[in-house]
Amino acid sequence: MERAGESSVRELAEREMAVSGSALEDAVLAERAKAGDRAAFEQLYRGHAGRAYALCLRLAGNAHDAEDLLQEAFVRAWQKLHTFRGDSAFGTWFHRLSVNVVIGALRAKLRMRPADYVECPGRAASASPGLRLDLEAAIAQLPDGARIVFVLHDVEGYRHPEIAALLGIAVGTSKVQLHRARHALRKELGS
Amino acid sequence: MTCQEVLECLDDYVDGQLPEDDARELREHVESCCTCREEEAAARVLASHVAGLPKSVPPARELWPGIAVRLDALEAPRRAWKFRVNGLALLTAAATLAVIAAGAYSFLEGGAARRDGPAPGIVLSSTPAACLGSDAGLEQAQAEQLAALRDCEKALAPQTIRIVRENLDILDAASRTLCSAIEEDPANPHLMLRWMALQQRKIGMLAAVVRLSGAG
Repeated sequence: MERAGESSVRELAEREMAVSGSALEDAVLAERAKAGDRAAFEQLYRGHAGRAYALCLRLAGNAHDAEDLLQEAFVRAWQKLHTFRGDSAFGTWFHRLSVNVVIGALRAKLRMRPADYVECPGRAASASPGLRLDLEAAIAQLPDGARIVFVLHDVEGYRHPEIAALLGIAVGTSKVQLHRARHALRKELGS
Repeated sequence: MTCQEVLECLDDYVDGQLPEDDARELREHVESCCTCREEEAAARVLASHVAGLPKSVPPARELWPGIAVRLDALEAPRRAWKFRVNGLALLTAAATLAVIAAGAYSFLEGGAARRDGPAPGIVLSSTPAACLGSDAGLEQAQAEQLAALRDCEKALAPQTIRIVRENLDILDAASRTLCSAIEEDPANPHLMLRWMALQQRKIGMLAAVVRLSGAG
């Protein structure tokens, strides 16, 4: 069930991105990159690596895999640039591509987990001070299924039907995973 | 509404997706239940903290050089092989280029006799079975790549050849380790991803050698 008349967080972010000046600059860079201009593609990397890395880091749960996935996403983007037609902002297009790359890599791992495998994360011994870092560490320690659904839904603004389609799971499973993730995080952050 | 029912509905309630009748029941329960009130407050606090997470997190190290190497690797074989490098084809390409790398190693070692046998620095049999594929054009592509390397042999300094050989040894050692790991855990996508990246780095280096010689 979606809220009638309201846009998701992701849609709002996409609209904001589409009307920004940087989107126009990106469109020009993307056109140059499509023609084989590597320098233009590097500029796109500079502009979007941080956003994509945040996504990869939170979905993968560790920096090592996140770095591999980020590189894979940009390599895949270079290969698929010919499919970018400018209907949406480059950032939107690339973000979706990144999600698909990460989910594709993690899907097999996710399916190997029992559906009800969720445990409360332990507090990271080396967690840095500050609530944000505690929250990041707690997210990273969630079981894969719960973490991925939580990041996609609560951080990235995806809806359950979209998540279910991406992950190849039932909508109900997505909701259960989100519920468990939130419960575990509340418990962790409240302890 | 019971405490258990409140807990089950709390996510939808906080998200504003609970039907109004249920939401009213939940509110009534929460007003009279300290435990559920705390749960609701914690849910809202979590939501606000999540909303405050940064949208952008810079990688801890510079990753563009690694991407550039992989793009180099994609460009050279794409021109020569004339087939799409993605999905299973990418795995096939990576596996084939390990073979090419073996040929290149042998080539850089010098001597026709050594070229005929397996290269000592590259263990082809360690290529994961899951990475192997077949393509009618690959044998031809391998021959073309080796021919290109032979053409540039005299343009390379001995120092360059030595460095290339050392790097191939390093890449191969890593490849063997990854192959062993993949055989133990064939369903692990991360291992396969890294193996693919490793093969692409190898391809990139060979392509760079050809370019360096002026033949590419």
